[in-house]
Amino acid sequence: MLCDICKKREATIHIKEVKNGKCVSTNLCTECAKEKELAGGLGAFGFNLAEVIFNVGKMSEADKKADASEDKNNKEVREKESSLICPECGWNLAKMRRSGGKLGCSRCYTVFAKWVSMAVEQVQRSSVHVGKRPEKCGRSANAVKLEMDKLQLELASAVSAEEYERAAQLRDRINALKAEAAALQDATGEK
Amino acid sequence: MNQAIKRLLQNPVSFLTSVSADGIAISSRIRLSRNIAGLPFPIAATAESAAGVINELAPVCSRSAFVGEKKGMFFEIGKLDELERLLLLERRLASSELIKSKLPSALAVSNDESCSVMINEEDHLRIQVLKAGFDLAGCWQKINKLESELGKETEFAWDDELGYLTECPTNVGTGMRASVMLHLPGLVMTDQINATIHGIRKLGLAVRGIYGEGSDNSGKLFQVSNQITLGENEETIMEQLSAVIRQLIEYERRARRALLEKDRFALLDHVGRSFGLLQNSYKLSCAEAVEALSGVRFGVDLGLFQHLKIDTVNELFLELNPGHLQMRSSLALPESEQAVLRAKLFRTKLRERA
Repeated sequence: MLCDICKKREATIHIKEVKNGKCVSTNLCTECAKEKELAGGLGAFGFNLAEVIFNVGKMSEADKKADASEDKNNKEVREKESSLICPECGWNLAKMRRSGGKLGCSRCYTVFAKWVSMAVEQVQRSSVHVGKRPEKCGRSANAVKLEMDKLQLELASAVSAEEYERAAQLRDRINALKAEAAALQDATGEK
Repeated sequence: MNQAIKRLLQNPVSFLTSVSADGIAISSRIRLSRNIAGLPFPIAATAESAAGVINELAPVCSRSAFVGEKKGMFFEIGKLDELERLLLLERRLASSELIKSKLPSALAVSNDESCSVMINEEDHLRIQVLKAGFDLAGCWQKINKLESELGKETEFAWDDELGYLTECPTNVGTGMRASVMLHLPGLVMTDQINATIHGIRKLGLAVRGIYGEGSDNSGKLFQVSNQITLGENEETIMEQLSAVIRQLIEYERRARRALLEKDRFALLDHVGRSFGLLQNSYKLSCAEAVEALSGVRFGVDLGLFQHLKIDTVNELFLELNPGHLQMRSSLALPESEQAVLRAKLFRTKLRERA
């Protein structure tokens, strides 16, 4: 298994954590684990967002050596990535690194999607928004489904805890979401 | 002096002076990050595009039922001098990032100072609501309305999967940071605070000093806030935070009871010395005053002072700051003279109440 950070060396350290009821496993090589340790320890809190992006964008001495022996294909990908520029605001990976992982505009979220999703995975609970939405934007089918899945779980736990009043409320909310999902499907079907 | 700043100086701060029954939770705050669709975020903005953001948002703010012309004040940060900016920072209406911004930036504030809208901070909009005591639900109710009102006239940067788009991906999704400021002298004095902070951080929440990022726990004051902004809705995030806060308040109460039972004289000594220092000094540094005032606040909350009210103490936490001291004397003063002025402030205020 390869290390989650450098994706090159064999992972020797395997960490399993329970985050919000889900089991999350992290696999690191000794070198990356050491770097992480120095940067403030492993675990959710010692983690620094910039670091993820640093490790991807910046080439350490070890990386450079590895780079020299790397096959041509990978090198091309790397070069292409480092010359990636947002057509909207001119943002690039170097600027992102210097600012500690910040982005230049909304478009950057698409252009640098790969780095954004890595950062999001590390610091956020999931990769799909479930909260407030602008009035003008309807909910995406995915968001509805996600909320529904979550409520189903809550419903199951309410039933097993014999909290029937709460279970009834949850059931009503799930039914409302089902109707919303059906309406969404119709709308996309019409298009 | 800027007229609105003058008004602010005479304003009692609602989140400090309308007191909740609880002496442990001082205030609650929620902020939402939003950006205007189609414009570069402040970090990639030019002076021109940043001015464009203000031009779009200033009229929207001026029509607002919360921070609008009739209900509030509007500041162009570039037109304020250093002391005036410091005043906004100390009142927690503006962040240090906003007052130091090299871009054109602005701030809209409601008359009671409970709502503020920062323009061109890290994001185009940083909407904030502050309330006294432990009242995240009240903050959310208000900020939810304020945000919807602004969103009716502006199109926010939005992605179906990621939610509200922010300059830093650590804020993406809800763009919400909720926090509660707590006074925890009991946990500090019983040496339980480090273990407690460690525990809170393990739950994925952040603990910081009162002056935000990087500040220490001066005055035994702590701010606990959520870290996660994506994957949970606002209510759930607040509920998870609130559960921890409730527990923290309970731990603090227990620590206070333990102190009163087992180490009564150490506690009385701490409170008495703090009061004596503030009442009798002729030079007081900011740090010294914050520490001693924290001791006095502890005493007030335990009912050891008859005539001193907790809102007076809360207000003094604000008044002892360099910006407020200097603005009140309408002079920029060197630190040594500020110390003299600060000591005088406490001698007068505490003589009045003692």
